[in-house]
Amino acid sequence: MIRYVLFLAAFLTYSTTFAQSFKTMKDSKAFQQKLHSIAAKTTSLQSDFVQIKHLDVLSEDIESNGKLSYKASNKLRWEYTTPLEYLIILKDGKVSIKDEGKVSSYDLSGNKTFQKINEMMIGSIQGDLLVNEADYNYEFKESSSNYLVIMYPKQKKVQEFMKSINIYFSKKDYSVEQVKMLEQSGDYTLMKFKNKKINASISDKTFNIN
Amino acid sequence: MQASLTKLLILISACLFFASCTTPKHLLPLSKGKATVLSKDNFKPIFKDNFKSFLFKTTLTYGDKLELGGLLALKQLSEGNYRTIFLTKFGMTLFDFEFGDNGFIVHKVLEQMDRKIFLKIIEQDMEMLLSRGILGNKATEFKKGESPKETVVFKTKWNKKTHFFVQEKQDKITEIHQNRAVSILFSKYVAKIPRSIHIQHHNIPLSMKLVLLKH
Repeated sequence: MIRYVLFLAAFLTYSTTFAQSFKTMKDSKAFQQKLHSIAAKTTSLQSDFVQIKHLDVLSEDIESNGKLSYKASNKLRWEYTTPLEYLIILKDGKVSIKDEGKVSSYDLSGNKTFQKINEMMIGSIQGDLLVNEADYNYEFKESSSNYLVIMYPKQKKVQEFMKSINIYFSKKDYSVEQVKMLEQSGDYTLMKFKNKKINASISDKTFNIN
Repeated sequence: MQASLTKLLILISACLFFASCTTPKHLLPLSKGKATVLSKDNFKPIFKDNFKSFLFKTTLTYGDKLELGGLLALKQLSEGNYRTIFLTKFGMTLFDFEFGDNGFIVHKVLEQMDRKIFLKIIEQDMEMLLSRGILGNKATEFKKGESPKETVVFKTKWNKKTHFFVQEKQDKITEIHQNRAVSILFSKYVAKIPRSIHIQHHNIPLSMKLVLLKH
């Protein structure tokens, strides 16, 4: 059970930083409406990602690379390729994990933790993540090229390991460019998304674990 | 006279029995040992006195109850002081602690793993892996096998416990054992550094498999 809790906790902790000057968003409601309307039209998404873990104590950041594929309304493939190979597939109410060649599958309906993971992962793509006011306080900002949404956790237990989640959206197509999770210590995890393909055709086979 | 000889034989047998009980079975028999002192000439510790940091792909297993995969960073902060950090694949810190001459300092630990005994076990494993300050220790040296596959076993008291170091021809350490309680196996050497390290506890179902990614 602990691995699922850890896994969830890991997911509840991302955000972003760009070297830009951000000021308060002029019309955050219009931004959210636009985001939702675009999310509603998104049938698929593919992207490469780079995950950078910065720890003040280490002289070099730890970098992991991977790929993600999403197909509406509830299929997701999240795959680390280097330096670790690790694959998660969310599909049809089930989560499957492939680690070191071993495959494990779990039913979402019987597991509240995985249900939350599912909501978190799919919700972040569909834009639903930005309306979770029970768990987060929100701050909406913008620069010349990006929108920035900063999520501050309300729960003290979450605050212990996460200061904020900063999500950077492109002003061009409203897609997520970076997510950065800041910890209280100043350490952070940064996810950068690149080579994004929106609404391209994706075979259902992509969401098979083998 | 007969009675005292019997007592002596019983005493020797008991000593040998207990001594052999502490020796990993696959290393037995250990015979014709000679006294020596561990030095740079006869012993090659895995980690040098000064290193920057090591990053390992890691799988931590506790029986069939827990299996955690992630990254483990081991960094030397200063002479005699180290820090070890275990991260999930998603970058979340599971534990982060400092150990060495300045003591044991926990910087961060996830609530579910916040058991002092668990972190102390990991610390002891790291100490065993580093084997710091072992040069200069008195040891007994045993030769095993025939050339060219000859190995040397050093038996030494270190950190108040008996340890066995198995070394191939004064070149590389392949095994470290703390009695029969903990074993560390080293393999896949490249440029005198083992790419694969397996820490196995025998009294509890805890194991850690490390694959070197960066150093």
